[in-house]
Amino acid sequence: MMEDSFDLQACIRTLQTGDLTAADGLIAHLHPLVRRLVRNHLPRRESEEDLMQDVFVKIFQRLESYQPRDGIPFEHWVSRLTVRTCLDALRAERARPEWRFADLSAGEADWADFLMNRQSEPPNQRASDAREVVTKLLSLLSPPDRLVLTLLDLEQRTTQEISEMTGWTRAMVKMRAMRARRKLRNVARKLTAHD
Amino acid sequence: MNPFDQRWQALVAEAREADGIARAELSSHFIQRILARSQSQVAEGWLDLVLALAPRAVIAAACVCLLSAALAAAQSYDPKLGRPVLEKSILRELPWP
Repeated sequence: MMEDSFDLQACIRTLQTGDLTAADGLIAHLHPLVRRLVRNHLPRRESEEDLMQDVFVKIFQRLESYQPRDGIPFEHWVSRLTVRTCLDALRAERARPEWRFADLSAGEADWADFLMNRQSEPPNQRASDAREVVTKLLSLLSPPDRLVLTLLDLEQRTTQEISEMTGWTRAMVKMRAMRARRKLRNVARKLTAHD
Repeated sequence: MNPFDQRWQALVAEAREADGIARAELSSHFIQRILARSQSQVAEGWLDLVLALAPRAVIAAACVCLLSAALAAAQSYDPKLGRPVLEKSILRELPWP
């Protein structure tokens, strides 16, 4: 299998000399990581593949200036670049969507009701319904609020990791997460106000 | 943790399961497109920078021109260019017998 024999440092060194023959290997190696991050932070009107392309083009453009540091893996640099690219794309999105309860499928509506304490037990619905509700609720928040909750709750990153990825201090991350949860509760309340 | 946060964590935990189900696939077309864009955008990098900085440079130059004009106008009305006051006072204080 390719991943077993893949030498990341050699690949980076080759690309830094301007030789793009090793690019295939690097894209294949980073593809799952970039896809997961882009999928979690994707603006509503943006294509996942287009945004992934933007990220990879930026990686190749900035690879020349990449300096490896002890104890910090290359993937960390890629994650930071990906998250910032996604945040820029989210900020460029002028209008936030407006979801109504009627827009939710039956499974999604059950999860929304559970969230707002209208059902005591978690619904026995598909995970994709839960994912869709989470995506819709997060899309109603501002880009920084959405980013911090996605990184903290969905991706289960630590405040230290989020701080390194975004450039915010840890105190800022905690404060923003607290405020974002409060706003999330408000938007969830509005979304489920269907009676 | 309040009840909403507990339910939110349960919802997010279920949503993470869906992420695990979705598998990533990588097509050769995708790689080709990235490489083509990377190569075409190397030359455009400098152009983008110039285009981004040009409006700011024009605004800065206009501000400098306005400041220079204002300074020149202020100096042309300088009262120091009038007749010295000292000359008059000496003439008044020392009358000849």
